[in-house]
Amino acid sequence: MHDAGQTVESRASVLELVLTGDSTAVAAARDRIMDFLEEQGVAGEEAIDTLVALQEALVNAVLHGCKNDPSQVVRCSVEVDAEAITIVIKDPGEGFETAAVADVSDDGINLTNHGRGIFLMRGLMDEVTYSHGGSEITLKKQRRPQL
Amino acid sequence: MGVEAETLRCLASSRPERSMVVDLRQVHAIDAAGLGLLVDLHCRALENDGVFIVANPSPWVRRLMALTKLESVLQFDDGAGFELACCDERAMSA
Repeated sequence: MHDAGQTVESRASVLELVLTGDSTAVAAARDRIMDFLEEQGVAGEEAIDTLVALQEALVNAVLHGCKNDPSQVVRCSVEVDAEAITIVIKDPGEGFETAAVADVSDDGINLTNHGRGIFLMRGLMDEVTYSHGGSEITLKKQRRPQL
Repeated sequence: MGVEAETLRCLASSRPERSMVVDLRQVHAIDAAGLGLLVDLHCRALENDGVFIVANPSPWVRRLMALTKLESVLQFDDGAGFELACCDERAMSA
């Protein structure tokens, strides 16, 4: 047991983490995952790109998938090898229609104060895929040699 | 940007100035909520015939703005010092 609201199991290059479905658990879970990635040698631009994508995915899982309910849980799996960083986040929600999320004008500009999270994740990671109707997201970033 | 963003939002809504400069030189990471706040402040300034300036964003923060197409919406100042008087005699900085 690590921070409040989390259970953690770590193997060589895999981290399994469960956090409670309220927003107060997000920062600790995010930091725990980033610590694990740093231990695996993830650094520089690939680390900060992953940090922001991870933050967006966790916030979406907690706010939309769990309705900010601490009795719900979000399950995370993080795997790192020489080729890629792969993060899977599963929430208990019913999922959503990803194409209907952002209120974007014809020129692609979103002038609302929401709906940018998925754009950010897609821009920062090499692959962003949804399964189980949108209640599970997989973020994948190919490893690149650090300069 | 969690508590800080809410602080900035409350500060901005409680001030009479029409224009605002937000200096991001100490901001190393920004998320979608933070970008949404900047859009809020930009729209608020426009509604009040004011100007909203984003000063000194890091290349990485600017990259996120480009990814979300905000680079073509927001006004930037990358110089060392921005003269508030040049955009509004009643401007505030944050």
